[in-house]
Order: sequence, then C-alpha cells, then structure tokens
Amino acid sequence: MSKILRKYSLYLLLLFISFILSIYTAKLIYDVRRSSYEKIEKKLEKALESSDKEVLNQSIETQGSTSYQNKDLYLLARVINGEARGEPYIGQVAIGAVIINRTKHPGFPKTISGVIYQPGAFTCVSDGQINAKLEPTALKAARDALNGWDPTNGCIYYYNPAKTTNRWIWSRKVMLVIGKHRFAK
Amino acid sequence: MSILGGYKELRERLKSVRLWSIMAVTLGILVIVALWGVNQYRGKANYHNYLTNMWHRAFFDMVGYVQNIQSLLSKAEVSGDDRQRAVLYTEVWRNAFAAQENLSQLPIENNVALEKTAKYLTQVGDLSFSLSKQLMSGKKETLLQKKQLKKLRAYADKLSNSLNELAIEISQGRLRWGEVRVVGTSRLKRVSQNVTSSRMLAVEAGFKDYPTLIYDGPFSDHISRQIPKGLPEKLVTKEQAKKIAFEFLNLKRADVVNYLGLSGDRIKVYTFEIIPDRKIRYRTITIAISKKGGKVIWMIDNRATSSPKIGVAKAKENAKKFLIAKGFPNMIDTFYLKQDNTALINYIFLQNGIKIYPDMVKIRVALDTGQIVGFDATPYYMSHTSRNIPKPAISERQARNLISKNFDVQSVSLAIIPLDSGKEAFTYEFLGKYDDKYFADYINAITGKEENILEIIKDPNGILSM
Repeated sequence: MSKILRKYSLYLLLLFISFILSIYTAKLIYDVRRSSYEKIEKKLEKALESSDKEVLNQSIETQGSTSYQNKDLYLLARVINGEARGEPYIGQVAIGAVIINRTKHPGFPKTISGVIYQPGAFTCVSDGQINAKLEPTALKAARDALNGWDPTNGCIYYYNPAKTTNRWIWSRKVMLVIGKHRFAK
Repeated sequence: MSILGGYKELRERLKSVRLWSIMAVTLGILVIVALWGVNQYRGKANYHNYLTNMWHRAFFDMVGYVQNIQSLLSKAEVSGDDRQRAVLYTEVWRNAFAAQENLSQLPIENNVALEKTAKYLTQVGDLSFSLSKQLMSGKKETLLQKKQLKKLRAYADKLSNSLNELAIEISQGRLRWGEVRVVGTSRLKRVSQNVTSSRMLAVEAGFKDYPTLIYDGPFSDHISRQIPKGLPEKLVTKEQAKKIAFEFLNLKRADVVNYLGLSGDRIKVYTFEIIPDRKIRYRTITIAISKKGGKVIWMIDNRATSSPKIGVAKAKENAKKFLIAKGFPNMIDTFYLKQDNTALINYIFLQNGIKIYPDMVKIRVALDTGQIVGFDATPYYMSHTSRNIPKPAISERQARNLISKNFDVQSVSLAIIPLDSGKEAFTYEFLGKYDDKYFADYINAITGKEENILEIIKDPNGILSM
C-alpha cells in the first residue's frame, strides 16, 4: 500500500492542488459580480468624498433651505449626469427641465422620482449609467432646472437620434436641438 | 487485430493514474461549475419572482383603483346630497392618483407611451378634487361639469373592462410580465412580453378621442394653452431677435452664434447660444427671445464664478439697476438664495403698494464681479397686464379675525397671488410667526376665504417659500 502511495504521491498531490485551484476559480467567478457592485459603490463614495467635496459642501450649505430641492437635487443631477455627460451645459439644464416639465404634465407621474423611475423612461436608469461619477456641472445644471430655467420651453421628450432605437419617439414633433439631443413635444 | 490491439492499449492507458487524475479534475470542475450555475439560476429566479410580484401588485392595485373610480363616479351621479358628493369626489381623487402612480410602474417597455391613460387618471382626479372644493364652498356643480363627469365615467367603464380582461389573463398565467431586457431571453418570453406591452398600448388607444378638459385645477388643459398677457402684439423675425439678444447682453460681436430653434407652447421663443469670446473657456450665453413682442424671456450665462467678493445687499443693488435699465420699473425683491457663488433673487411687481406676486422676474447675480448671469421673466410676461384692482370688500381688522389666533402677525399688506388653477386672487398677506417658524397667510380681500398658506424659510443663505 505504502509502495503505491509513494509511487503515485506526486499525482495525488497534483490532483489535490488542481482540485483546490478549481474550487478557488469557481468562487472567484461567483464573487466577480458582487465585488464589482461593491467596487462601483466604493468608487461612488470616493468620488462623492474627494473630487466633488467642495461642490457638495456648497450645495448642502445652500440647499438645506428647501427640502423640495434637497430631496430631488441629487437624483436630478444623477440623471443629468448619466444622460448628458459631455453635452453643452445648457443641454444638461434642458434634461433637468424635461423631467420637471413632466411632473407638471397630466400624462406623467407627479414627482421627480416617479418620472425618473418610470420603466423605460430614461436609458441611464435602465443601464446603470445613473450611478456614474457625478460631475460638478451636473449638480449646477440640476439646480438651474429646479430654479425654473427651462431651455426647452416646455418640451417633455428628448432623444439622441444617433442612439435611439425607439421608433415611437420619432413621431413626436422636434422643437429644438441642443448638442446631440433633439427636444420634442 | 490492430483495432483489438489498440483497444488493449487504450485500456492499459485508461488504467494509468495520470489519465484518471485528469478526468477527476475535469469532473470536479464540471461539478463545481454546475453547482455555481444552479446557484446563479436560483438567484436569478428569485429576483425574477420578486420583481414579478411587485409588478403584479402594482397592476392589480391599479385595476382595483380604476374600478373604485368608476363606482364612485356613478354613486356621485346618483347622490343628491352635496356633502356626500364632496366626500365621493375626494375619494375619486385619492383613487385616481394611486392608480396613476401604479400605472407608471408597470414594466411596459416604453411606459412613457401610456401618456394618455395617465393623463386621463390625472385629470379625473384633479377635476374631482376641484369639484369637491367647489361643493365645500357651497357651489353646486354646473350642468357642464356634470356632463364632463359623465363622459369621464364612461371612460372609467371602458378602462375598467379592458383592465379586468387583462387581469384575468394574467392571473390565469396566460399573460406574463416579461423580464426587463435581459440579454439572451428566449424567443417565447420575448413574445409574451410584447403581448402584455401591446395589450396595455391597446388600452391606451381607447383614449384616442379623449376630450379637452377645462376646469379649476393645475392639470386642466387650459394651463398649457394660456396666452401671455404681458407681451406686445408685434411679431419679430429670427434676425431681429438676434439683434435684440445682442442689445440685451451689451455685446457688439461674438465669436459663435448658434440658433437652436423655435419652441414653446405658451410663449414661442427663438433660442440662441452665444459664445462671446472663445478664449474664455466654457462661457456660453443661452438666450431666448419671444416671437411675439420680441422680448428677452430668459437668459443663462454659464460663466464660471470664483469665490464671492460682494454681499447680497450689493447684489440686490446691481439687480435693481439692471431691471430698471431693461424696462422693469416698480419691482421689489422678495426671496433670495445663495448658491454656486451666485445669488438668485426674485423680484415682483408693485402696483400702488400692492404686491403682484404673479408678475415675477428672477435675476441671478455673480457674487465675484456683481455681473448678471441669469434672468427669467417667463412668469412676468405670462401674467403682467394693467390690472384694475378693486377696493378690498373686507377691512384689515375683519381679515385678521379670520386667521388663527395662534398666528403671531408681524406685518400685513395687500397682495395679488397666483392660484393653482392659473387664476389670481386679491388678498391680505399676513406675515408672521408660529412655533418659531415663519408663515405667510393669504386671506381673500373680497370674500374672506383663506387662499393659501406658505412657509417661509430663513437661513444664512436665503429666504425661500414653500
């Protein structure tokens, strides 16, 4: 018996190691998703803490005065950030204005969160872009929109003609074009 | 022979531990991957069930609310008691808003396309609420309002029926809410998802001939069709508008001028994007000039502002000068807010000492240079007109008796305020304190009715109303 063991000990060891390795790999694959979510969260926290610290402090300081704006400001800024990063500033305010216009329109939910989380309403909500790193301009744009500036003058739809696959949206009348977005009634 | 020999050889090799070990490892990996897969699948199934349950809850709740609307409206048609009807209308309002909320959560691929159904639910609720208020103030429904309600009830019947059919099919498992665009969904699932979506869109099609509804509420169709009262009749062209924009901004020339389009449903405006100097990074001015009257409706100057060098008092002084220069005399400041190194100040029109809140202009002053970086006169041009303000029918003392005794009044003035319905009310404005909080209480100067209460929030960064 011991003879056999000695003879094949190397193979047994190899077998054992590969078994451990395979378990480890499986666990690794299993954890990839969870850890990636955690990483995103951590990154978000960091982003909020460091780069936007100044902007954040300012906004907390100034926005503390109205709970309406406080509650919705960040949510609005996140959608603007997710939908219109890299767009001209006015295009960012316009996205915020469309959301606010919807809350005042009978055909849409009456709250900013209701409008934002309506299924299929905003691509950045469906694909997770809403959690991207918050740029300070998005916060500023959100504030302008909440303060009543509306570059679209009452539009309730917009789309990027290069990206949209939704045929229904093309039937709406285009009122103006800001950056890459068409704004429609 | 050779095949048999090969077989023998293979058997020999199979016996060899090396091959066994490789097979064992492969098998081990397979088992682990399979376990992992099963785990993943179960997790996904759990999420899917969870979501489906939420969607079902939203859908069945909505069906229930729509049924309630239908039965409450028909009860209101039957009832002869004003108070009873007022209660029924409030119930309709509650059910309609709950129904709309649930509708907007259904996993239709493009939920936004259910706009007409949502609009119906909003308006049936909004109209009922305004009727309930009307009844409470002692006015019965007019014949026209009763006709409107009957029409709305017919829609509730139709909607309720088609939703019920859907509900039966869903509860029998014939229709399912599909998964939300998961890559690699089987074709079958995709089809069933489309069926539910298209069935909901068919319900939406039932509102094709939906009438225009005008009543006393914020979601009435007349709100989006209001005509600006404060704009001159003369129409201007795009070129003239561009000139007006340059005059307003005191610019001789600019590096870039982009025309963005003609838009707006109440005030049609030409919108321009102006970059005065390309060397100053990120500075763009966006400005909108009305087609009717050629007035500057709003302006945003996206200049980066550095840390504040002036206070709010100086900012107000600058804003006031700016307003006078641009043709807005008799404006007084009310609320203000400091943010992003700027001060946002609200100005309202003053007519013979009476505050006209609807005629509002917002000015934003950069606190580093004192420059005006934002302007919005939309409310002003919507409502400003030469008003014939009557003498108050009740005295200040009478009005004071109508407000709560707990309210510590600090100042009183006359004011015209905007109402939700788009109308205006002539009121006494009582500013005061209650429980260390500031409030503004508005008592109608003609009827004595309390029209509105605002909470005033004061803090180091501003004064705001809520």
